[in-house]
Amino acid sequence: MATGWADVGVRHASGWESIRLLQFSDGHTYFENAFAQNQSDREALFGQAIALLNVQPRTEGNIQQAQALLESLIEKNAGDTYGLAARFFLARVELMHAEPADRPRAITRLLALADEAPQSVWGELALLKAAPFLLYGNMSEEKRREALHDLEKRGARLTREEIRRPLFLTLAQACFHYDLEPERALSYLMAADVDRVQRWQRRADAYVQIGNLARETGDLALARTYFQKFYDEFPRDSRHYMVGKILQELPGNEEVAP
Amino acid sequence: MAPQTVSLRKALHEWRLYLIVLPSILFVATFSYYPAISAVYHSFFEWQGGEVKQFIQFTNFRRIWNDQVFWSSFGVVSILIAANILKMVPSILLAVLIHRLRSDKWQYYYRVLVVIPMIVPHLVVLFIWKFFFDPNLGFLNRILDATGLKTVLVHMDSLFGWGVFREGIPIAWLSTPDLIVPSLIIWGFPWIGAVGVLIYLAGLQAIGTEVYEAAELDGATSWQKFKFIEFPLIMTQIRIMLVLLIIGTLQGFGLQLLLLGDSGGAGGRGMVPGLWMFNRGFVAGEFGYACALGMVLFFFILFLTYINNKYVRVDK
Amino acid sequence: MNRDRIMNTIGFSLVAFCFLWAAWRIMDRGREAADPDRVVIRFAHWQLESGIRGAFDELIRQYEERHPHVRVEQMLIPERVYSNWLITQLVGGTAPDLIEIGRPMSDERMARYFTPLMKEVNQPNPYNEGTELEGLPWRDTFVDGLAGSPSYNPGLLDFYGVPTAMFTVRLYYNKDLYRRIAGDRPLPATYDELIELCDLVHAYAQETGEVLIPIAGSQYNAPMILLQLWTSLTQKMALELSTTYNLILPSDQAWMHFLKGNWDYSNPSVSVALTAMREVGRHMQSGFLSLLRDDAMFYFVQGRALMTASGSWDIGSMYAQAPFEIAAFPIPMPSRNDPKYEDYILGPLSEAGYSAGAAFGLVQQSKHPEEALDFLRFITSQQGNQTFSDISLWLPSVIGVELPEKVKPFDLIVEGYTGGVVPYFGADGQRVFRNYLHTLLDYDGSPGEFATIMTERMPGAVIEGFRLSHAGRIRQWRRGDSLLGSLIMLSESETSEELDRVRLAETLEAAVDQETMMLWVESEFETMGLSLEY
Repeated sequence: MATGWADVGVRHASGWESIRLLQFSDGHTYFENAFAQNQSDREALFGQAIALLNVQPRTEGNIQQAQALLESLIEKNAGDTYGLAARFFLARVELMHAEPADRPRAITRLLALADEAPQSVWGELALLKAAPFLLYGNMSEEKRREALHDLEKRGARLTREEIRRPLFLTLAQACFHYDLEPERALSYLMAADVDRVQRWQRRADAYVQIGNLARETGDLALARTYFQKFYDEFPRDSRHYMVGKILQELPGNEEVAP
Repeated sequence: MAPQTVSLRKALHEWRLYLIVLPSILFVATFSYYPAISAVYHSFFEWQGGEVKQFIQFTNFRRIWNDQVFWSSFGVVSILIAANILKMVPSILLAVLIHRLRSDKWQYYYRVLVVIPMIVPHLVVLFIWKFFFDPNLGFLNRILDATGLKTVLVHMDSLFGWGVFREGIPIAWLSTPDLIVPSLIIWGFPWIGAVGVLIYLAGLQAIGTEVYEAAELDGATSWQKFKFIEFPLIMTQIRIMLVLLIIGTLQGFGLQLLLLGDSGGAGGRGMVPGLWMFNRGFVAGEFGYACALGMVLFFFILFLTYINNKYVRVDK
Repeated sequence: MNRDRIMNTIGFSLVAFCFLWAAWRIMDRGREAADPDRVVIRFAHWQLESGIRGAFDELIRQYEERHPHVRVEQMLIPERVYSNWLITQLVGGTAPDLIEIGRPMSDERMARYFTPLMKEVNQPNPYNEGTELEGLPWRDTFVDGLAGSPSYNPGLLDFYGVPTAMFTVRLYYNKDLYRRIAGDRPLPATYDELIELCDLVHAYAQETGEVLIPIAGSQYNAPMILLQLWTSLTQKMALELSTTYNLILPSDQAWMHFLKGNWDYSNPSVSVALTAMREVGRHMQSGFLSLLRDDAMFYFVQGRALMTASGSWDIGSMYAQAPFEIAAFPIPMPSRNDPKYEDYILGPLSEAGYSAGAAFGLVQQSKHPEEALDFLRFITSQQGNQTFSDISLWLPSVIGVELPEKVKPFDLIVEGYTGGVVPYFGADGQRVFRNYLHTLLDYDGSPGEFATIMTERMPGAVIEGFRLSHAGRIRQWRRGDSLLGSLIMLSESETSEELDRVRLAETLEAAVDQETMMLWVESEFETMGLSLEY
């Protein structure tokens, strides 16, 4: 994993730790105090905004305040890490936090960020987070395929595997939900490099999905390889016995090379 | 006597008395008022009972407007209120009978007999009644079988087409939809509540003997004494009990929860507003919505209490 | 002194004595807690079942023998009041060191009051030295690998509990009565054989005049059989409906298919399942739907029923209360080799994915976290868990623990298949299902009547279920944004560890499932002209 994702030194680890542990009020108080001590501390300003999104009780006032803080970060410097981060979260606020949400505008913002800062973590995250909104919803199948194709190309250029992987998983999910051809779903799962999926449930699912998709598309060696991976790694999964039976019934005994 | 105005200086002069009252005030504020205020506050939130909550203005109340389960539960509770009003009669009659005993010693013994069952916790009584209703081992079905009443019920069923009493099939009181409300009404037979008896008795004992002497001189019968003397003179107590009964029945759900479960039993026939509130809070995890239901229930109770106070007259 | 004065003096003395004794007990505890040479660890749980307390007492004795400076206290809290007691203790700062988790608790509360154990569970358990588990990370010594709830919290991406037992469900039976009724006949292995056994019980009861029922049911026990029948007989239907190629049909997808009309209550799988449920329900006592767990237990231990369904958590209680010999066997399901069922069923339900329970979390307020954790390691070592299982008769949570004879029938069935469709969705779905189950199981009920009512009432309940789950996803999504920001910043800090980066990757992966599911539900609802708003 690339170190220094945000390319910035972090001074308020304990504030961020509070937020990580869902103690949003504590985190907000911490960053508020830090900002009071140093008004040029962009990290503290950023921290306040991030905490405010979930300080309880959740009110419109808090969300608007968070928006204002993010806008002030952009105003002072739109190009540094905090400026980019603020653009990302401002779009997220419009997408999911503000009432009413403004999804079209939020998606436009995210795509603009992805285009303007493709190498930065925030640009890459913007693409990842815009992807589901470009794929789901009422649209023609043609439009959906176009979106998949476009995201596939852009996804291949992502430099951070921890962002690239979930993007391809998203593309695969869309294929499943909208019943698109199995070859396409299979290609996305292979591009996701599922061996490195951290969540074991998702990795188990991915192995079984690849095995079944490969079976359907006639690639029995690939099917066997991934069913075997699942069988070896997940003895405590309720599908273990089923997959064992499938392996027994699969003709031939080839596997793909690692 | 007209109320006297007390000067601030005089009031503050007795500051020690306020200190004595302070613990009780704090207690009531913490355990009675604070939860109520918190419920009002949370009724405007989407709240799952933890720390996460979102202010949603009147969305919960708009939802209540279309909540069919909630409104139909008032139908059930209305039947229970009517039944409970009728169930006040045995307590009143027993109080009158005890009051008319000439021997003070026997009055005392009967009062003790009425009070002793109060020792048994209410929850235990509910469990015992649940066992009474057991289709196969319960006391109720065994009595009906032994006395032949079951056969009578079966005949009546075939006559009226109820479809609930069948020969050879134990009566499932709590899992047959049409028997759920009758079971909730039967519960507590013979419906003699110690608290009610004692309250009515206190009221009756305040009636002077000269009133009875005058009635006897006029040749009043027992029934006339009850109708013209005792009943009117204990109306204050009856009104108090009526208010408590209505509030208790409207709010209550412990009986239904224990006997029928949190979904109101077969067909949801036993669903009452309090139980729906419990269901939304503790089963569906919608505590904010449950608080809003509680608010609506509160206003209902307030309204009925107002009606009771205005129209149930106490003529002295 | 007159009589009144004597009585008053006695009364006052009693009150004073009680007060002084209580005060002394509190001060004594405080003194003990303040004694630097003496460590007192307290752990609390709600398992009042027979044998559990004794098992923990024995483990405490063994642990105190090894560590004379440590005293361990067990606190038993009734289940009914456990949640309230827990919150009061945590907020009040008086919580014991180790607390059984597993009751509903928000992630925020879990994070605030309990210690995450990621580092600890990835280290070996020293109490496993000399065994086959030596050197293995602590988490890998558990049957479930600490993979599921309550041990692992997916919202917080960390481990918060260490479990002591696994749980399965079986049919308990009265061995003496079985011999009298069925002689040497082998135990039923299939559903049809179970029904035949039930018929034998009726015939025997009629012959002897005894009041006997085949299966003691209640609103607690009956669903264990009925829902398993439903889940088994909809296995193939679930696979056919699944579009995600992972051999599983999650409940939200299953019920979205229902709303879209891809299956309904006239589906052959469902009809067969309802028929089987009615058939087995007729072999339970009249009115069982209104009875509680203890009522069914009472029927069974009184010898009025041949069988009853319950979990392995009741082994100790059953053996303690039954005056006859008891045993257990898996709830027989329809056979896949039977032409009547082969189109619907794949095979026995797999228990391989079950998560261990009776898990204990370490409270942040603990004054002796190291000692408390050490005690937890001790009781969940192979030796410790063996002792626990031997005395409590609960299924062990640790690999390699030999099952006591009485517990063997409860061992996990791993050679099995995934389950079918879940019979209801959401709290409202469950309410509707329960409220109208009588139309299926009553004397004059029928699968057709139940199907008609469910067709009418279930869609509304399912829509409610989606509204609630959608609102829950939105809350998680919003929370996830703050979490994402904090994880990215933490990955930057000087104290950043590999763990922070792993969490970041996991968070991004988890968000994919959340976000795509949420948007899919929205788009499907829009297509159907339904609303997720109130």
